[in-house]
Amino acid sequence: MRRSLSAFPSVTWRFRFSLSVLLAAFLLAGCDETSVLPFAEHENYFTVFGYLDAASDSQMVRVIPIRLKLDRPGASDEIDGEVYLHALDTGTTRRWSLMEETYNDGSQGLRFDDGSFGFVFLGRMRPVPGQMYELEVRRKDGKTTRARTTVPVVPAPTVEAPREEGGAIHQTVVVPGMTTAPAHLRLTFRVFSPLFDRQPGKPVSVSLSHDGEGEATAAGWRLNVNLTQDARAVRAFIAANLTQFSTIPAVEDVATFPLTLQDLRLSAGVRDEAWDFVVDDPDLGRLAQPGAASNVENGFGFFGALGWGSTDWELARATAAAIGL
Amino acid sequence: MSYRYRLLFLFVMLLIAPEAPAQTGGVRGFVVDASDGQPLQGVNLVLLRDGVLAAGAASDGDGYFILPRQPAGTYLLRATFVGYTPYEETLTLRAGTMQTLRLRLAPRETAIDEVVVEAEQASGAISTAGLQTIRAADLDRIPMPGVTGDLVGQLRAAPSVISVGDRGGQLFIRGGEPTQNLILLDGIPLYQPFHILSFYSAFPAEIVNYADVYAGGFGASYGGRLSSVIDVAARNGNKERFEGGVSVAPFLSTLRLEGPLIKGRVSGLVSVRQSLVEEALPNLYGQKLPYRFGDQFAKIHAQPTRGSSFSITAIRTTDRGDIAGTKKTLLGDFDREAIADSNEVAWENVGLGTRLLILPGRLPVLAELTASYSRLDTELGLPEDPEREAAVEGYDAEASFSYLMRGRAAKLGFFARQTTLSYALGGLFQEVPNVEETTMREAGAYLELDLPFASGLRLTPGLRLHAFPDQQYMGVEPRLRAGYTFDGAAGAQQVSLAAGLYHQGIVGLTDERDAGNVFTAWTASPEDDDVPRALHFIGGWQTRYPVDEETNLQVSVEGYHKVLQNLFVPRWEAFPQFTTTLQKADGRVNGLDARLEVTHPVFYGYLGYGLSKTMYLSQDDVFGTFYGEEQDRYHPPHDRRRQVNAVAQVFVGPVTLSAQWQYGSGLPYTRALGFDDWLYLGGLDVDLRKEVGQYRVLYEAPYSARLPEYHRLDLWLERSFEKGRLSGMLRTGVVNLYNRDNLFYFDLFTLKRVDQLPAIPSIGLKLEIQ
Repeated sequence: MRRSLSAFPSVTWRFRFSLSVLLAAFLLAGCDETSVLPFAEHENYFTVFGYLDAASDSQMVRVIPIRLKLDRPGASDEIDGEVYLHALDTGTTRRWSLMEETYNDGSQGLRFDDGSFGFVFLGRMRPVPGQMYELEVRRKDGKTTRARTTVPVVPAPTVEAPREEGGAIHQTVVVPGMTTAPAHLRLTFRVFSPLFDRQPGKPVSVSLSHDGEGEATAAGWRLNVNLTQDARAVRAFIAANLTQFSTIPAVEDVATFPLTLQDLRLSAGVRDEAWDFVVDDPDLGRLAQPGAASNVENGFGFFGALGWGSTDWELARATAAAIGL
Repeated sequence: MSYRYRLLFLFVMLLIAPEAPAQTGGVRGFVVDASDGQPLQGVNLVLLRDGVLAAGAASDGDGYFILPRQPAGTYLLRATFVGYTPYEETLTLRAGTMQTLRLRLAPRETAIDEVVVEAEQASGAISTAGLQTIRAADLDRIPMPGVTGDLVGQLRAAPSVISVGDRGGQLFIRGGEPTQNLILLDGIPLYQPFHILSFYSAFPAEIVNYADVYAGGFGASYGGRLSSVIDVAARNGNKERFEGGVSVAPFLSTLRLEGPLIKGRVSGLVSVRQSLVEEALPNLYGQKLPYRFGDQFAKIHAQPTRGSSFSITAIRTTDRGDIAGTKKTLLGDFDREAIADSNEVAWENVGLGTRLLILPGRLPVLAELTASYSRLDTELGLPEDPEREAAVEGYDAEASFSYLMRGRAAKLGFFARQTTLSYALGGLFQEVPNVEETTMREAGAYLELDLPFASGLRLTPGLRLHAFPDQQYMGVEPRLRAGYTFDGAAGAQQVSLAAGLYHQGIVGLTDERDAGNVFTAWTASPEDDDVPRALHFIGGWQTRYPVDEETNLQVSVEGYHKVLQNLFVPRWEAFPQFTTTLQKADGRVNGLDARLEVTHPVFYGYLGYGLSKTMYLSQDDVFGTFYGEEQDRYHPPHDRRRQVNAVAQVFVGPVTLSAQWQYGSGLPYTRALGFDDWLYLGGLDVDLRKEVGQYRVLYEAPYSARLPEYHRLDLWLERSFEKGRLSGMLRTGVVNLYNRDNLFYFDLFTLKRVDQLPAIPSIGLKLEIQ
């Protein structure tokens, strides 16, 4: 049961206590910090994605300035960054240029499908196998993001003699020293045909991918190629794309139209060691963690290199005829 | 039966079995309030033979008591309870019989000289080893921005119950997560009964009889959750006369009706509550408060015979609102456009349950049968096109048999449960909709003993066998609760402890990267892994000390340690999308709670202090590349280290002035370095000129920073009045009186901060007819 306050003179200390609590609360309210800092300080400036391809004369790298908002850059955004590639073994440096296109709406830059714009830099050069390169992305204030890569030296594949198996001609190719599958295995057929009248006398090259095929052996990565089957694929490709090479619109019989093999080339593209994160069934959630699958200093992303080794050879005429070329 | 189990059975029988005279009789029954038919808990019942005490017992939460195995003869049964006129009845106990009574205790007219007694009865919660029993009268102790009290007010005032903000309805109890709390209303599990504005729950003072809140260390009759139990017993409607109440307040308005359907035997109670905050409050600081919530509750309670009672309880709660409704720019200005964005979250609970209590034949047994259905639907996003949806639907059945004998008791129970869990996750950054539905079954049995000893020691050991057939796992869960009561220099004191092993088969997934995210996706723990489990250890001391004739002081201190194993948390990912890829984690929780409570006829004071530390440890090999170590040790976003709650109330006649001040140290959050886009170059077929990549957030190490601390003062002034059968109360006050910018969370993707409620005045009126 409640009684009036005057009946309890001894409780005045409780009022003082209550007032003190109120006063203390007001004082606390006026002097403490309520702001929050969403971003931590750090020394990472750019994310880069790209690789040097020893089989190409044009190299590209995507440069993404680390931004403080989720939205991607728009047409009006410019990049505060220049890209240089240093060949560390020779001491030479090349500056790469920003790729830009002009679109129908007048905007310039490089526009992606989602309407945002990005920054891709182009370097006109062919990297040399065995050499180490350093990519540098430099801001105007001197802050830089760097990544180093060495272009792999890939030994020339060795080719064994063709053999007949199960009614088809097979040939074994070994990429010496390779214990894991090369990133690329391409078999290129260079063929002639009297039908090729657009550039008479010039052979046509048809490359077939054998990526992921083969097995590891003590001698290296061993690939067994079914030449008969591949030759059929070459014929089918040329028949389907004949107008690129000929004024004749079509062939009557894909299996028999005149086509002659000049030679074969096997090319093996091999990633540098920093690319070890590549597996058959990648866990993208993990690989995307900042720092995971990255060789970039003061930034994120990945910059690698792809080296190539290749071997050319000819088939005996009888063997070429046996596979249908 | 193995040797060990035979030995255990023999031990149980020895503990509870009495001497076995053939010529004995007994009495049992239910004690209710004569004025309204409510069961009375804690009534002291004694049998006197020739003026000498022959046996004694206390009624439980259903008002049930039993005084068995007395030699045949004439006895005086006396029932006494604070605030009620003592009841006496002469009984003749015949050999081989068990009399069943329904005792009706009449409330006593209060008088000035009973003031101390009343103050003692009304003083706050009783707490022992993690258990806090909250009675309906306690709920009005904590002032709320409305006119009626609510269980959540008491819960939020508890030292170690963490609420990350004043919206979202998420309660973290002693390091546990909201999905690890077992919340029961008359035995119906409710998955999200707290409203979107965290001042309110589905348990207002009008419908609550009492609530047992176990912050840990709960006994063998509860299971299937790792953290805590909130077991709410709803009031029965008045069986003697019709009464009702209505209240109008901007936050929540209520209507309650109750009365006899069959006078003295069957009652009904209906409560409807609806928020008006969206309509009633004007734009504050340029923004509305876009919250709409409410609940509907109904209960029918019947006592068809002296030895049985039956109830049907139904509840529905609805919540919808923009969880980021008070958004500001980075510079702290209120963002007038915030209301247009889509942070809407909505959930709906539906629960229906029945409960049957039977005193079968002559057996000294109380049988309790419960069956219930419960469903929770949650969605995030615009109502017509939600980005994410989740549902959990459960059917529960339980039968228990309490065998009471000379003050000792054994409770044997059997339970079965089927839960269907589903989610569909889409959204802006979710490239492929993620949809899953799982059904999980649970079944088992438990045995719990209650063994009081004359020395003041009381032991409550138990064992629960909890099977998870879908996970092919059987949890063997020993439990122990113990208390030792003694009179010391500082009044009646109690030392208590509790320990136990707990398992939980369902997993609630939230995006841990975002402290403001209240969306939970439910799933089952993986079949090829161990079921998540927890070990609790609690030790406490409390004393109740009468300072003078009118002032009572209650002090309690409790320490706890929890070991969490095989937890499943969403894997930490850099993509800004909800992931349901699970990652295993272990955890440790340590803490200390202290309470001080002062009751006086003109003053009430409460001070609670909670100190805790929660640490999770999860393993991920990629963490080493950037964060330095492969083991990710982090303090989850509810790891509040210090929390203070102070309540002061002064009563001056019919006027009450209440102030509540809350303080919480900063919660962990994760800072970012920035954003970029991510490309997978593994296949070498990426065209850098065309592939835009995936959005990526460059997070710093998880939870390595702390948000600002939180504190808030609420002030309330109320005046009550009474005229005949009509009584009422007018309450006015202010939430967040000094308008502190308490951060709720920071939206990293939009660079907007979301604050908790600013200073909001409120006024409400309640009228009741009794």
